[in-house]
Amino acid sequence: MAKMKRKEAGRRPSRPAKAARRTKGAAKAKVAARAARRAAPARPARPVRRAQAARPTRPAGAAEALRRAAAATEPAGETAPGKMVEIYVMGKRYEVPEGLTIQKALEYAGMKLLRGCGCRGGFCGACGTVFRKEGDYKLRVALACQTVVEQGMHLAQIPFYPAHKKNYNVDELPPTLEAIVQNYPETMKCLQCNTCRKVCPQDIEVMQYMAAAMRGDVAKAADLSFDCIMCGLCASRCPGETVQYHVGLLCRRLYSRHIAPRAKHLERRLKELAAGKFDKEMAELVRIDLAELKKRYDSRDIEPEDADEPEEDSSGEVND
Amino acid sequence: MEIGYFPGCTLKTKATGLDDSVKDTARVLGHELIEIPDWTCCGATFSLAADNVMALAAPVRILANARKVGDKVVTVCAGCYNVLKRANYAVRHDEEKLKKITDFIEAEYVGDVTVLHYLEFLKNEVGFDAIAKLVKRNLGELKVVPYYGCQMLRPHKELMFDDPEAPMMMDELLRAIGCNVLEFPHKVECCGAFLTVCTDPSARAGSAAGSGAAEAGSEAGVEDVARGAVSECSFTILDAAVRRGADMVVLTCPLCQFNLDSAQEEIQKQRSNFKKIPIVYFTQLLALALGLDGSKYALDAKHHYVDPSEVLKAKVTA
Amino acid sequence: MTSSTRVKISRTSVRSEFVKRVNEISGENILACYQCGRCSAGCPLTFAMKDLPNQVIRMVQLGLEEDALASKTIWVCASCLTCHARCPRGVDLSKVMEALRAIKLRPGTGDRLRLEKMSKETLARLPQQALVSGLRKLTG
Repeated sequence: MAKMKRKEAGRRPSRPAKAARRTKGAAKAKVAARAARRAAPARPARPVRRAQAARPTRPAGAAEALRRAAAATEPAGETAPGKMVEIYVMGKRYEVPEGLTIQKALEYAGMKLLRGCGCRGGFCGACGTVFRKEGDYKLRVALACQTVVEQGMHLAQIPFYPAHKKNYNVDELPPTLEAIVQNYPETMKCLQCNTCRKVCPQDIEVMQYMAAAMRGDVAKAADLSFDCIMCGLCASRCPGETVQYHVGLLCRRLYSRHIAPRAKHLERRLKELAAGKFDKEMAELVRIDLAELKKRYDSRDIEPEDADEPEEDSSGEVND
Repeated sequence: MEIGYFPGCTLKTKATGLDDSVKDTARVLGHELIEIPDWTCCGATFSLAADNVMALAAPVRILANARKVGDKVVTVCAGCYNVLKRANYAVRHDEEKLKKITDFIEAEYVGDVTVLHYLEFLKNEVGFDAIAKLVKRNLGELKVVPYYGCQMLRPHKELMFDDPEAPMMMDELLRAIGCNVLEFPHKVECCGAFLTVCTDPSARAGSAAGSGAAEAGSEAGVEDVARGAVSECSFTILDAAVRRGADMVVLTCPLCQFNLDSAQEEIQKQRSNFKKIPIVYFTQLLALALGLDGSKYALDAKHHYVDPSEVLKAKVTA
Repeated sequence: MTSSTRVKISRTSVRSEFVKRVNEISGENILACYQCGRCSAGCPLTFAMKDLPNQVIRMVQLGLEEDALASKTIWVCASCLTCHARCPRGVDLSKVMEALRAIKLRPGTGDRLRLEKMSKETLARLPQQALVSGLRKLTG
């Protein structure tokens, strides 16, 4: 059985132990797969993105008819152990338990995901993949760990989109359009078609932050792109060939470095520490015994005196 | 009266003086320009390919968003005006195209927004006579030529803005606010428009290091030719203005402003006796005439290649 | 222009796929042009052209695909529409120019602007209006 590998170069080189394991015989792989199938417990359906849950799949074949008849007698949301669905991976048919995510389904089918597999929780952005639903013409992209397989789904590998991340020193860049256009000039090819927003697994308003970037509104672009997990699916479908997620990253970095108000109270506190304001107290705390420490901790003042606090800087001024 | 306003991307960066002067002058004249919600770049140029439906997605979405504010949208950038108005015309006359686009952008639009240029708005909703009465600052000695360019005039059938061969709307407004408006035969000629991107020699497709080298050999030099285009076009216009004794060229399009302003350096290198002339927006002069504080509208060396502040200081009362 | 060479005009060239494609993309009736030359007389970019605008449309009318597509004129057209405003037959020549550009750009290999090679200074000084419209006109 074929093992899955990430198809590009440039990431961390694979460790020798893994490489050795990869070359082990097919027989061992078959045994392992069989064991995995036996060991895999029936699991309830993973929480699905509402959009995908709403779309019904078209049934095909006797197996499916049987499955649906069985489902009709069960309350919605529960899965009887042993219910299988047919999926196609790189064109080859497999049967996997219903309710698995694409990622789990690939592994169940015997593929070992060496790349394109990360947190498995929809937050690291490693597993962006392409698939198609049964009977449907649309090629869809989504995160493999968040998308539940459906009957007749066609899966592929989990690629990495090698978008060009420009080298820049955020300290030296102005927080304006200039920084964006000099590093990612293709941003100006954006057609405002909204394809990016439609494929974003985080429901980010990608087109809106690209529009903000084109206007030079770095702060807005940073704000709107905050939840980005850098999966690259937006860039994968962009007809204008822009790299939305890198533009968002640049805007967030520019915002943090140049626009976000500095924590003045932190700066002040650091100065106080350097000046030795708390040295005496610290020395004493280190010296006293555990019982005394606990006593002091329990009786500490949670809301410190205002007299010692610096004035509230509410203007949010830019750092000097 | 509140009315939807579409600034366009350039007004937020290179043409902030135009953006601010439009909003402030409207306010003085009793109208509040409200930026329409969720606006994006309009595309800057109207696609002349009949089968290019994608290029209409952005302008139609902008119009659909404008509809949420009202049935009119005002814009001052001549490029945006051209795109929005032509896109509106296209979908008003082609139901199938409209359906395709609205399905794609997932928005409702039936073609019921009217796109107005700020000049039209001032003439029809406010009236130039009314504006003349509100003039507080004397611009009387300022000699100006109004430059309309292409985007707000052509194609006349779709834009229906003034007379496409001899427009007078800007002339009338400038006269109403007290400028000495000179006759100018080049007011509707092209400044070179987007060809200004070819002024960077390193960006030429025809360079030997570029891809498609075989093709490049036969087509090399296109960009060299285009490089000089903006200089030449601009020179025709600027020279005519200077020879008529104008102090300033007044216009409404940020691209024209950039071309006419930035080309003068290059022109002076080739023609040493060329006298530079500042290029300003009509709204900046309107703001001055209405008594607003000129320092808020980028009328300085920082925002212009040819500094307008000297002429203004000399000819306009503080 | 092929003024010094012999040009073969035939039914196949005049009714070729190329001419059909130009008609489709431009939406214009190219045969309406009767070569009066008013467009060329008014075009502000002719100083940069070897083939005049009316000559380019003549090439299309005769189905001279290679000449039309190799002409540099189509890349220095600024889409100012002066030609269309002047044309007594209402032909929008700028749309024909756009169609010829589209035929060269749509395959994806004919970009006239190397965005990745543009200097940082140029990118910093150009207003968005210039860059966005330049990219739409000169790249595919």
